[in-house]
Amino acid sequence: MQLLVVSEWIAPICEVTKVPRYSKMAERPEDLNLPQSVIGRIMKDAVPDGVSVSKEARNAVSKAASVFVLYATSCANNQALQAKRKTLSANDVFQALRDMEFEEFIEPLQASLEEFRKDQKTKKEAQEQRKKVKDNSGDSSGGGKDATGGAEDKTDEDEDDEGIEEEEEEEDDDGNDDEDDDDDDDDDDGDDGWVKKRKLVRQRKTKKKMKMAQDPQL
Amino acid sequence: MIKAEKEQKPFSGGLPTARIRTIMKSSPEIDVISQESLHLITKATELFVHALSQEGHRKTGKDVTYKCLAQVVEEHDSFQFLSDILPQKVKVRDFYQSLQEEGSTDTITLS
Repeated sequence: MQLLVVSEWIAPICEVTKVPRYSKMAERPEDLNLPQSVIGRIMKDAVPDGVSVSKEARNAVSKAASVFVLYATSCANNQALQAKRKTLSANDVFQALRDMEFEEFIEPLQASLEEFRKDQKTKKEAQEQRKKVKDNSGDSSGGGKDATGGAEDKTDEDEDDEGIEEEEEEEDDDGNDDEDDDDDDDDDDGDDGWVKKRKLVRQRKTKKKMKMAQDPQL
Repeated sequence: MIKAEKEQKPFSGGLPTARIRTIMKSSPEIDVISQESLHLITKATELFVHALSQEGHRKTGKDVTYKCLAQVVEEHDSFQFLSDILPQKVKVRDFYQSLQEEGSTDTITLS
């Protein structure tokens, strides 16, 4: 009886834990500031060596950048509204930049977008591959039910894979992998190993969750 | 290794997309933000910071200070939207002076 009661609770909790990632709102005013260190670095990169950037200037630019984000967002949103769409697309952003008289940004951004798309593609493929390798090795060491039932086990694993992949893809579409996004930007080569590890940990967690959600039903 | 990579690129940037998303979501009419547009806005913001500080440096050819940034905002059309966030600093003395001048002109026009 008790187990049943618990099982009724676990599933909703699993659902609830997902929610904050989709509706991440600014809870404190500091949440709307951009990190000073990054702003400072970009500014330093923009001016020749030996030229310093005053703290006051950095604060002002950081504020300006936040306003720029809002301005660009609302311009892009206007574009989307005009076309009666609800999702901001890449073209909306480009059109918004044209409206804002920042045409000079468009060309580098287009290149960046291409890169981004390629990245996403390769990442997805790599993820799928990694998952397969991981699951195969993980189940053989951890599960180890029978030496004879190897073939059957494999088919089971494949089914498992598909289920997880679908879930992962959904996450990607919504683009709420907030934690990972921070790393995704530029240092793809440098931090990849670390990101991989984190992703693996996350996968394990989701797997556990799924098992927890499924087991009581069985 | 990572450092060397960053030095190669003119603006490696690396503004956190999560934060940018939070800022974007803070405006009420925004519904859904596609991954691509989020990436573009993040990159555009990096370019914007780069451009603004570059212009500020070009203004004086010296260190980047608040003053030259405010000047850039005032003079460039595309940065006009920042005029409330980055206003020119005015000394109290000058402010009073301009107030008085305005007042005097007002009184003249009134009389």
